[in-house]
Amino acid sequence: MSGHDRISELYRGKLWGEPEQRAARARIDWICARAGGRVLDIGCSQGIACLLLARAGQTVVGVDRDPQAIAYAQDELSREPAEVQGRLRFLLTDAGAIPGAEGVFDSVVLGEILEHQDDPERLLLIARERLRPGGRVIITVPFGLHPDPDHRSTFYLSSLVEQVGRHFRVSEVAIAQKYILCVGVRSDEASEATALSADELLRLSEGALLEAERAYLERERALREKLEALRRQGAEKLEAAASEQKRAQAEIEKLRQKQRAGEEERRRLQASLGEREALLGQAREELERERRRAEEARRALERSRAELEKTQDLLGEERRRLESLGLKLRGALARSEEARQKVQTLSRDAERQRAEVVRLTQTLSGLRGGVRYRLGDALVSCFYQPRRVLSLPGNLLNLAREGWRRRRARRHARSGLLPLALTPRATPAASEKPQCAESAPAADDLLERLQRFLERVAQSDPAQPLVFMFSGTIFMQEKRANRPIRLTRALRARGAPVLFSYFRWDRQEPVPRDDDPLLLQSPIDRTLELIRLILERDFGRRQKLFVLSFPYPEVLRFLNECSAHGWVTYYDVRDDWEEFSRVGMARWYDRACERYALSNCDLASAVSEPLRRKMEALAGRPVRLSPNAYDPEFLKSGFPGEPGDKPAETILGYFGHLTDRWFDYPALFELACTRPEDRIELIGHGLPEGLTLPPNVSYRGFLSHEEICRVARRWRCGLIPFVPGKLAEAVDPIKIYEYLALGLPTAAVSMPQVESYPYTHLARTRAELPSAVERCLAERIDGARIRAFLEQNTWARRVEQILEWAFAAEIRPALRSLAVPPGGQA
Amino acid sequence: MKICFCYRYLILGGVTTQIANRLRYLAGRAEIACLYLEDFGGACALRDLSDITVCGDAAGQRRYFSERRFDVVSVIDSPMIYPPLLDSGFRGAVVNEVHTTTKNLAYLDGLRRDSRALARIRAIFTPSRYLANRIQGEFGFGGLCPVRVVPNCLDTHTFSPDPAPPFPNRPVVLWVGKLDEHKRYTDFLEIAAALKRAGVVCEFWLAGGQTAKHERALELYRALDRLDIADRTRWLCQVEYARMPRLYALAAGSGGCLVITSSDESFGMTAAEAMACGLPVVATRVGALPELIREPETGFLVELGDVEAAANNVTHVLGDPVLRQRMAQAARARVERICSIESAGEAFFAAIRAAVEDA
Repeated sequence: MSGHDRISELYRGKLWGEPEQRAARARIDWICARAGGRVLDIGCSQGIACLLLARAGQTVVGVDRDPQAIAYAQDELSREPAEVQGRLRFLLTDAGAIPGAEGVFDSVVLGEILEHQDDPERLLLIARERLRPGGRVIITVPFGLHPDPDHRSTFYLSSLVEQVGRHFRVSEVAIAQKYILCVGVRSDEASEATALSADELLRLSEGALLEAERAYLERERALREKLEALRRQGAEKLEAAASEQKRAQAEIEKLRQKQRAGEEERRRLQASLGEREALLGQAREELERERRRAEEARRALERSRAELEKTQDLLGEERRRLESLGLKLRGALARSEEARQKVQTLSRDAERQRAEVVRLTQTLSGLRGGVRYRLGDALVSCFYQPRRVLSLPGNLLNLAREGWRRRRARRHARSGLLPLALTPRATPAASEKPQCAESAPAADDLLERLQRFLERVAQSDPAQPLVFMFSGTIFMQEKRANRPIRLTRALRARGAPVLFSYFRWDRQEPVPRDDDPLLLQSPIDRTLELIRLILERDFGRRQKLFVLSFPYPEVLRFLNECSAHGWVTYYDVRDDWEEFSRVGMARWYDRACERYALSNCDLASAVSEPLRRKMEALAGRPVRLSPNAYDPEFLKSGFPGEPGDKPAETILGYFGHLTDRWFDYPALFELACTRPEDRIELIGHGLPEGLTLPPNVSYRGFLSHEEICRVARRWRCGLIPFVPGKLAEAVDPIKIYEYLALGLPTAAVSMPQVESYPYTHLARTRAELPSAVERCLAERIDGARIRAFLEQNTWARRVEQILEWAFAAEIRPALRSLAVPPGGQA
Repeated sequence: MKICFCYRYLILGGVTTQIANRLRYLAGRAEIACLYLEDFGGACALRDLSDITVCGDAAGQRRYFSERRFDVVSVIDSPMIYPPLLDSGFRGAVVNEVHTTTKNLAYLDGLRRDSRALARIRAIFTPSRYLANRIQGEFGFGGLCPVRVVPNCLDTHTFSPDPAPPFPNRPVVLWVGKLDEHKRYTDFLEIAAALKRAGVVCEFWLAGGQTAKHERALELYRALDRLDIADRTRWLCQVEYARMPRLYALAAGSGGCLVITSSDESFGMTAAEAMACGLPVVATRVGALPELIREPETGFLVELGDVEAAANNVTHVLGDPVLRQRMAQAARARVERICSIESAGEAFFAAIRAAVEDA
């Protein structure tokens, strides 16, 4: 082996393909089977044969003049066990330069090396010199022509045998896989002939030729098949190309037709354009006429504006006059208020003095009625009127008797045995006092009550926040208790003072009184008059919360003043007021005002998710979710969530507002018709006048909570049949919590907020309401589940959440510093 | 020297504030008394003055002037004083002060035609050259009577830069005034909308307008909605006068400015107050404002109704802290020079003395 052939890698299967690897292994194994004893491998290349021989126990020297080959061989040897390494050496040298000290060998291997020589004879001579007599030379060379460009000699069987036979006795020859394998023995006898006869050589040659021809024919056949396959592929591709060409031609034809059509259209449009230009000319003339008319109108407008300015000047004069009158009136009011307060103070003083006079008068009467005084008077009168001496004994006796009676009465009083006649009359019990919850104090009494309320607040627990509930509801009551009222009750239950502003339509309507010292109610018209007194009052470090329950335009101007005075402003969005205004309610509503409220309050929340999203879009800032809740006071008896005893018949029911603005009477009537065997009961206020109810629908009136509970416990299902739409979608009805407390499943029109509530079935349309009722009636109520839900959704919890938000929110400190007096601290 | 100030209304307002500020200079230099025709509770602003008389009838007024024998009577925008004053036999000097807003100057026509009153008026005092020119030209007092410019008086100790935090998180562009056509608050809203469209980060505060009717308030909310500036606009409808220095200081500390959009100003007291507090001013080039605001050292001036120019100037001021600082210092210095209690008090006293000596 010579050059940098990679026989070792080929032997190990790292190169070429399986046939080549198999053939190489066969050749190497053939060599190793015939080499033995002390072996010299001339042209050992990567040393695979040497390595195999050394493993087999032979002593081997491998020689090659290719440094890369020897380096590879050495590297391979270094991974062998020590005993193998001890039997094998590699020398980087030419065959002719092998040191003489190496001595002679038993075998010399010339594996695939002779064909690379210009003078193969030289190596044969070297091999003979290095062999002991009788030693063997093992030779492999390619048979015939080989494509390797480094092959300089070509061997056929006879030529090799002839050449080897000049120096060795050829003992074995074979041809395998286009290689000649030959073994020669060193013989010094000139007469020893080659072991093979000419016929044998010829047979071997013919065998090799046959093998070569077979290989050639096989290759030719493979090439023909490949050519045929390529020809078929080519034909198919040609056919495909021809089809593609036909399609392309058809496409081109279509495009040409389109082009022709386009040309037609262009000609037609050009004709049309001419007509339109004519029309345009006419339009321009018309425009010019309009412009002239507009100019005339503008001049007329200028004249009108001049007239208007003159009128405005006159209005200005009038306004100044009215301002002057207003100033006078304010001054008079201020002086009147001052005088009234003085009068009140004087009245109180006078009252105290009157009481003192009465007390002194009584004392004097007591003294004059006393026995001793009368005794003295009797004695003195005798001095001034001597005739009285005659009656003196009788008078003295009477006085003694009276004195004795009084002493006896005092003794009896101390022992609790007072005669009935002397028992003081009982004062009327507080409960017997006339109820005046709905009666009217004088309207100007409210200022005084407000001042007393604020003083009580100042003296109350400073840890409790003061809440100003600007509600749009009626005054505090049980029957129509909506969100602001419920929140106020919860606030009062936790000890927070509340100033509750309620809506009244008639200024003559009396203002209710409360027994609760830390609750003051004020009608909205008076609230707006007194609001500055409240805002400017100093409450020290007490937290203050202004709850805007509806975006009433006239209060919005105070929002930032609230902030400046340290109030946290909170817009509690409890309804979609815009939708309310669309159905004719909330006539005060103005979208711009609501937006201003959302932007200028410190925080805002809404009762339902759809409403929250709407407000958030309007405000462009986060709005929280604070649904309505359950009032544990609602259920006067029984356990929340436990269904009551039901009658045999099925009764469905609704309680709440009955206005047809949102109560869907057609849907209710439809439901009544589809369930003629059931009864439907309605409780509440606002029933439209003249409404004819179906025979199985009845109106029970406007009941108290206790009565509602008693009636509704008989129902099997609570209804909320609101008109489908944005108004219904925005709500979180308080009644649903109450239905649940009564153990009732609820059938409601689409209200996304309540979808996840227990035992609640939604109808997306009117037509679905009966099926929602059916699902309700099929429910098995688990009271524990309802109680768990209600416990998480009480007004007390809502209040705590709101207070947490409010006082975690950053009060605008910069704005607040406006309210601090100069020299004070924010 | 005994000086009597006469005004129609004893009320908390601009005139009473002027008198109170002057008192602090004149105390020790002159004896001061005030006569008012109607009392609206403004006496609390004149704590330092005990000689205050309220008299609404002419006979009482005649007696007052006859008995008190003042050296000078200064009649402030109250022509109804002249008949009892002149009938009382008063022999001292009379000056007429014009402080009213320009829309109420019509009374000067009557005064000019009142030859009896005109003959006794030694001089007309007015706080600005602008107003002086109008009085002389438009109302025909040129050549009839000297018209002297006596600047308004501002307490620059109370109105001073107050660096104390907390300040708003965003620059505050402040507007002060009533919500009326004269002050043109709608122009301010347009400026605010332009600033928002331009991406300027700031807030807009409107201070004042507590007497605005509900309809006007609705107009405001609707305008905020239409212009899409509700999310950054706050209306403080009432801020007590004593809190105004803090309001200006908040705006200044936030890096903001004051915007004035008025169609006319007889002096520009709001601008002076802001400048004294170190708050840069962008104002309309109307009335007396160009006399007070020296552009660009102490503020910027734009043409009336030029929303774009105003917005650009505001953007410039908000974006340049060095400019703001320089402007604040220069504006403060200018106000101190023109209308501090010392400088304005001295100017008034000198004018009064000149009027007395002109007899």
